[in-house]
Amino acid sequence: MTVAVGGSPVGGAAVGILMLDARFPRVPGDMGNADTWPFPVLYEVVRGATPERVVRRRAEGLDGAFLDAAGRLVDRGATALTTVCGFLSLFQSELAAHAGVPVASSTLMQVSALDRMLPPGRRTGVITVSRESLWEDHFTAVGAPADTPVEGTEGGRELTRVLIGNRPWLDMEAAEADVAAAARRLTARCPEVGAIVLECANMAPYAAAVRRETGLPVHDIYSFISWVHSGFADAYRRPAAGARKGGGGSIGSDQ
Amino acid sequence: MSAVASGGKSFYGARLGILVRPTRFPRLPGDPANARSFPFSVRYAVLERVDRTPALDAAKRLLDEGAEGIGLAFNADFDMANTLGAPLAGGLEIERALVEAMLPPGAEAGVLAFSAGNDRIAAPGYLADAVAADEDRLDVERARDSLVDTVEQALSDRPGIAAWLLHEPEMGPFAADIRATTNLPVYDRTTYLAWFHASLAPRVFPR
Repeated sequence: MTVAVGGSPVGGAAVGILMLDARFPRVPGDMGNADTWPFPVLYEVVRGATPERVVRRRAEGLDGAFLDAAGRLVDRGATALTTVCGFLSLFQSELAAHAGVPVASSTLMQVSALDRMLPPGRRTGVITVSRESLWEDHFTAVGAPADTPVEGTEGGRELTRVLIGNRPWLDMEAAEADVAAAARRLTARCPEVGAIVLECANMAPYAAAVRRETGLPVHDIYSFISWVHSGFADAYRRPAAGARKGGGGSIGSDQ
Repeated sequence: MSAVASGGKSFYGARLGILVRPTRFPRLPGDPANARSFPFSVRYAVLERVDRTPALDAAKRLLDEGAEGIGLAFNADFDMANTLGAPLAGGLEIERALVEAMLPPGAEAGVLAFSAGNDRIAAPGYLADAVAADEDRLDVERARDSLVDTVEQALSDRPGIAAWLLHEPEMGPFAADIRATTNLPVYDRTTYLAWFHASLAPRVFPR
């Protein structure tokens, strides 16, 4: 007998994404573009959570709105949650406690784990959309060292201006140049950097350029959430061959 | 952008080199020593002896031939991070830290291993014995059943478990069974290595 388990109005989408209240372009590779994902996701917009308020003003006063939206995603069927802004590490504990499901609020959650993977003397560096706004507690809220090396794109021409300014047009080549330049500055200033984390969830489209530029492993929100999702089964992780039906005809190493 | 290709090594596109033990045990999909566990190519090196020096030699050979990072398909009791000069995905404690960071307060990751210790849940029995004996046949259903029994018991003993981490690579093929039985997410060495690989090969999106 095969018994299906229900309990929510929508099935099949594990990851729920808390969206900013923004209007800037969500290009392929941006987690707010549904074409980015090779699996279905659920979206919920947090009203009032403008990029400027979340990044520059520490998402002040938005706790309740984020928790409410998280609850709505879980009610609808999400079994893991994430957000579209690395600065929301500040809400990691609150979100996880409220939602009762695994929460991956920010790519910064990977920093301390990566530090342990690197050889002695090497450490993780971060590229952010706004270095001056990324405070110590954005790191410590998710167990990352407060003195993690950081470089930002705010001195560039395009990405920070468009995202924080919530502009309707984005020159992707210029945005990529901003991120690559930040990566060059980071590795020049901190040669001990052995892996890079992209804080900003809009930077995944440029991760390949950062890898090309630096030769370092690059971790972004796309790879992080793909890993989160992998825990909820996918095409490569079906039940072991033959295990469901019995019959014992499926013994071997190449199935 | 100019379109000049650069060479300088022997093979391309298989960025992850994986060291495997010299065993005869059946490697099912979901075990990192089965190439179909991954949606990308990897390059294997079979160790003649599971020890630090042969592991380092094999890793360096893979890197020289074109791999960009090294992963292990087994739990090593030796450390090789310091001398490799390339990214290394070694022990699963890294993935354990990632899993635990996501969980609500009071919840825990259930770490399944063949033997207890280091806060792991022991899953002895048929699969553990077959792996230890390095048998070249495995009754898949029997292995599945014994693991499922273990996770059901563990969950009733420790209701705070909110995710599973499969410490043994040979448990990976049963991840979907454990997930289906408990309705909890399951992470293992295959998901760990896929996460690591993504940092070596960030996806290129259309423009």
